Amino acid sequence: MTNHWIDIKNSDAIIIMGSNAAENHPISFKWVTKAMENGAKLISVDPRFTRTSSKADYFAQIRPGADIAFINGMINYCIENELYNKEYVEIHTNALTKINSEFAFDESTGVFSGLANGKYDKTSWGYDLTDDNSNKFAESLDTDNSVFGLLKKHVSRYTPEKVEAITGIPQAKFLEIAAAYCATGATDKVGTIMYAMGWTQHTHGVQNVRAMAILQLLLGNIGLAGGGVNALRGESNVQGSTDHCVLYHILPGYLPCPSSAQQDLDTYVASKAAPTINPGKSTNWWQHTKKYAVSLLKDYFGENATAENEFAYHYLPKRYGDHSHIPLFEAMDEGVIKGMIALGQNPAVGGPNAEFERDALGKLDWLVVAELWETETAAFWKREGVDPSTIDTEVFLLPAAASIEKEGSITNSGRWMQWRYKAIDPPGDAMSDLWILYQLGKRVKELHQYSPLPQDKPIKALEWNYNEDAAGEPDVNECAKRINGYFLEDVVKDDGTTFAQGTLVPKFTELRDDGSTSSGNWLYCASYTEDGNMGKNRDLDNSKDTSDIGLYSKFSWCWPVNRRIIYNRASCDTDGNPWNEDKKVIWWDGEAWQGGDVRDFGTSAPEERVGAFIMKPEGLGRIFGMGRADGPLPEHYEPFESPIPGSSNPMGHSQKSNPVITVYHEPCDCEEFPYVCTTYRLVEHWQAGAMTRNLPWLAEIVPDAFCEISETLAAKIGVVTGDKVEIFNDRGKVTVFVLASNRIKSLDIAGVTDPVEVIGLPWHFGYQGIATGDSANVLTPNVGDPNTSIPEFKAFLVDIKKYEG
Amino acid sequence: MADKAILYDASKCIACKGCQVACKQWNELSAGTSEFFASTDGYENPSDLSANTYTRIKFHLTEKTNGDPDWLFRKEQCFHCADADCVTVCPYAGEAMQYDSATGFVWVNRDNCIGCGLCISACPFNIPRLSDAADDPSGEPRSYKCWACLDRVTNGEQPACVKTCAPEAQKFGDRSELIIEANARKAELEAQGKTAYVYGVNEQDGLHYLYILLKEPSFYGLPSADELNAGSRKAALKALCEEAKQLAQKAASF
Repeated sequence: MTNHWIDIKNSDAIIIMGSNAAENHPISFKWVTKAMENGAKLISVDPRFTRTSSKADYFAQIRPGADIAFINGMINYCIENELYNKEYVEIHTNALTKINSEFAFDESTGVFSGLANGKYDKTSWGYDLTDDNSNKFAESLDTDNSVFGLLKKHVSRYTPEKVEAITGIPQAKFLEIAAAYCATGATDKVGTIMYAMGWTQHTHGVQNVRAMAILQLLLGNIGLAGGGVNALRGESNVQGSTDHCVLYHILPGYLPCPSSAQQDLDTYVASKAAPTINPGKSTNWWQHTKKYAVSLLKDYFGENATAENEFAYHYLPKRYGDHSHIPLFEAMDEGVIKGMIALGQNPAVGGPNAEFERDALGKLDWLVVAELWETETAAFWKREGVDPSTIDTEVFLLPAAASIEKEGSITNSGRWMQWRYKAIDPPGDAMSDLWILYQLGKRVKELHQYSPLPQDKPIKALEWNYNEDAAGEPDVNECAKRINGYFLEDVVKDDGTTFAQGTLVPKFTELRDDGSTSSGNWLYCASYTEDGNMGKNRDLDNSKDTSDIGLYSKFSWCWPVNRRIIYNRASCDTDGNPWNEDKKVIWWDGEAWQGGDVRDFGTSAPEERVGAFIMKPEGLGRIFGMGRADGPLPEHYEPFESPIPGSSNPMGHSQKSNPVITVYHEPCDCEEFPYVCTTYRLVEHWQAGAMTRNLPWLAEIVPDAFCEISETLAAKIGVVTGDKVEIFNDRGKVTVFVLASNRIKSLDIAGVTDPVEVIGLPWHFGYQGIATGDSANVLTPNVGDPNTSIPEFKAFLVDIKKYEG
Repeated sequence: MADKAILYDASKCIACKGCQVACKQWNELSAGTSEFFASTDGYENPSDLSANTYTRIKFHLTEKTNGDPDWLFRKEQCFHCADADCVTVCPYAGEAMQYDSATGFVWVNRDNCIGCGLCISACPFNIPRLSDAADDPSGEPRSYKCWACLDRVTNGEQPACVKTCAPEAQKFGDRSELIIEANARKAELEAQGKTAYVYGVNEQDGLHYLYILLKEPSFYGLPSADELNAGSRKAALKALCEEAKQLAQKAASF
């Protein structure tokens, strides 16, 4: 989240789209409810009428995978009716900048300039820059070759008629919602978006979010209390796991994972630290990349990281391709990957094309699962229909400690790091994940200590001292301190400030690229200082708050440097006056910046025009975003599996689905599988279900796998609520109960003869535990977004028929 | 302690069932087995209150005037009437079914309950349930229902269902203040163009579980004050009281 949970209360309009917050993030409704008590309007756009929708002022049922058409339609409405915050757009975004004149979007082929062999050469998407590396700016927003002009032309095709034809949402309803939300373009109004996997789990997931970010920038809603672009994370600590790099493509603090093309430290650093555009007016925070990378290497490799060996950069593994979830399982299937450790994950239920993934597990030599229960992944070899004697995989099930049985931090969606204490000892032999990983690392190091092989050098060089206790449990506080980082020698700054060797670094602005500091994650530098563990802060004194925006800055700690609302310079106009005096975050008093939140642009006066978007080389919010793999502006592409026959896109061009996705398996065909299926979660269960389907109280309230369909589809296939149906496609089949209601209706979609029927299918279920049922993911395609590789769980094709027993 | 109450605001309830689970957790009530859902209107489960289920969320699915679905929720549990028919008819009123004098909540001391079931026949809201003899610690059927977590309340804590409520759709407090709050909330909802009803101010001389509802109480299957005061019901109650008297005399004669 750019903002945080409590901040939702400051909104005047809340759009919940691509998420079902009431069910999957129920605590968020504490703050949604408060906003509504203050008069906020709630908009719910979803393929089903959910418990979120039940609370909304406006509801629209959208066809799965048609979100960009809807948001681009809103952008078009916003521009046509001049509802955007003009001053905000001019000063805080790249709307006035000029783009390379080679850039083009071809409305007949439906692709951007630079496409070749399923990949974009993004050169033509770049800025048109002056000789001193500054943006060239257009005189006014009306200029055709400005970003604003390009956007205006791009979205002009998304008329209300087109929105209706693609999404199935009647024009009148679309216009009602567009008017309600775009009203937040007024300078004293603010709107927020709450999204989650309903947006990201698409072959155009990143562009779904991009589209909304553009709308938020136009309406002047980013940086303000009650605004922002807010991703609701699906697990209590998934934000922490992302920040700390439990992913294939990033190192801690969103440093990129080195690629095989980056054979030295400087080349690697340069890949992230782009030259500053608009020097003097842009903070360009990633220019500090080397300090963070070197400090990370010093944490990893300690004294083995020296200036002479480029701080052991060569010990880092280098990417040579896409190593995300889908290709990993493809590699297991091909026998390339021989072993797997599954920690906190249950891919036999949660992975796409789950039966394929279960089969792939059977091709491993060994599998380690650390879990509270024997999950479907741990028990894949004895699932129904499989002969265990044919599976050679050796499976190790390590009993793991639950959250209340171990100490450590979690970072919530609002970037708050909160320390949790251990309440009770874990049962039996169960151990914390930290113990498991630490002991594993220790044993791997012991096994390699005498190895003469060059590839074992990184393991031998790894700094692995975490002050273990008599039981072999590493010191979790030492782990947190190493994440923050230490001064490794006495440091004297030019201004005379001194820092003693062995003390904790107070904040990341003190990290250095000469090897004199360490930091396991620069973003968390300031979280554990000589003043203590900031995650333990529990002071509810809100007196530092300006107005009543609920920052609670002394409760827990959030990255970066306890800044609760990021890009907060944008909460003020050109002169530093808050857009809304009642909900001001920071402001310029004529001599200095004031306000309760930590500023993110230094101390410069408004007249210096330093950009609010400090993470971008140009300092501006990107309406035109040249960094993505699949286009600088969002375009509607059909899901990988679309109910629309033929090869054309309903936008009137020939590029039906995202041109740069990686296809491993052929899509299901809509002639054979005419129904659109979308998976989702319920409040009663959690993720792949291990923690909830094993709990009798929760198994009692939702005991069985089921699907939701319209009354018309129920009539068509001859079922009523409580019957069972089979849902199937090329990948698999599930048998589930059916719940038919008016909460899903068939949709009229252009290019499809019959009304499109949508099937909703919760994905929590599996063959282990108390509440069991068929896994929805045996039906989902293993195809993902080209930027993130997140699978397209939210729109795919199936057929359905009555289960005859 | 002044008269206490719990205010449930249906306009804020998201039907997450956190209250159902918190109730079972605090009161150590076991889970039953269920299949699919108990109602075609949504994700309702369990199918009924029981000796192990003191509260549950009821789902009501209908349609708005614009054709959109309308999904309404209500938390079902004991209303803790000021004039509670279950107490009136209990053969051991004041010893088994009784008012908590400090708060006005109604609870049953099962050490003195004989499992006659008259409270169930008398309750206009169909709330108490008898346990199965085989499952009951006493080895005999006993009456069970929501007791407003009096063990928590008398120790300065909120009832478990209130404490857990994520959208703060429930509030525990002084009954007189909650009535003022309920009426203010009704006015607020009406100002937003919604319909709202306050239920429980006068019914049964006043309920200690108050509702803010989005449709008329009858939509949710709740009896009106007229229905509660109907002569036929009063006559039936009188008959139950006679029965109770006989049961008490019979027990005394042993």
